[in-house]
Amino acid sequence: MALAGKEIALGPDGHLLDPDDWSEPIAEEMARLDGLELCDLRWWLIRFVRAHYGQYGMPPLMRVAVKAMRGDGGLEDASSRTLYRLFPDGPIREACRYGGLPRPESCI
Amino acid sequence: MSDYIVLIRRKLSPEAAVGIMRDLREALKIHEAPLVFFHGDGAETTSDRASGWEEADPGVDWCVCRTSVERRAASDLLPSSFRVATLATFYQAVLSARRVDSLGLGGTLSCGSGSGDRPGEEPKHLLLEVGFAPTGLQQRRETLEMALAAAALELDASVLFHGDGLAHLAGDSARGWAQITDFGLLGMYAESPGRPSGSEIAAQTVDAARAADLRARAATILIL
Repeated sequence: MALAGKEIALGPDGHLLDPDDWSEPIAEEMARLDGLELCDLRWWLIRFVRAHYGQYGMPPLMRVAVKAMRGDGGLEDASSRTLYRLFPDGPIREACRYGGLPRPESCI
Repeated sequence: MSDYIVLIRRKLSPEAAVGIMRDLREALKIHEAPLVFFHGDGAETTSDRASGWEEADPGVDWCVCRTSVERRAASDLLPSSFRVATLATFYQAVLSARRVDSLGLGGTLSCGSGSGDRPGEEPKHLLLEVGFAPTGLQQRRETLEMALAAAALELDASVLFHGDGLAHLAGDSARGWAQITDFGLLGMYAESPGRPSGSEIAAQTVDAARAADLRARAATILIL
């Protein structure tokens, strides 16, 4: 499909087939099509998940993201509910999708 | 609620499968609804028709890790008496079990369990032992996922690498283990006289005596 002026291949679960296709405008466009605005906090989570994936080869556990949001994210009272308010359909999975990463496959 | 849990993480021969079904039938005389959880390579066993799982006793809760079975594209091959479940199901069952057996890639262990997860009881300490060298990325990943699931559930747990299992901490694909130490998710120990060869992971190295102490303090030990 065409996203941000580029032809992009998506898998059946809506994740980019080629992570190298990813860019911030493409993430914005994917979110717009979903009726979602990528506010600063959503962007913080997407970037955190991408950085974690780059370092460890997999997305973070929810508790790791919550802890980081309380620290680097500057939201002292962050909880898993905070993350679910950002992405109700699964915060880490959705952050992976908008972040151009594969769908997390673990049942953790 | 199951008070007897069996974890199977290695592929079983048909003869071994028959033996397990026989043992479970015996266990039903003294244990309430045993739960058998197939994970990783163990999930391959469940689609082996020669193992005779269709004869498995329905009094046993036969569970297969959803992700393990999906990775092996074996969801449609599960015996009718089996169900897919998650590692959260497994660990919740372990917390309330009196006996936990593990048939892992690194060996077999049967352990009685100490205090439980009921009100007023001390939380159980869980020790995950990794004593086998992974044969591929999938074995590496699924072993790490056992630890990450315990971390996700915020269990009081540690991982102990020893012998051939130290290979999990070496090489680029070992980097997933670093998140456990970087974020303080679980205790992580390497039974080794020095820093494990080729490892950049900050596992705490322990000698044989300290490793024995870790085992003695654990309420439940799982051999992965």
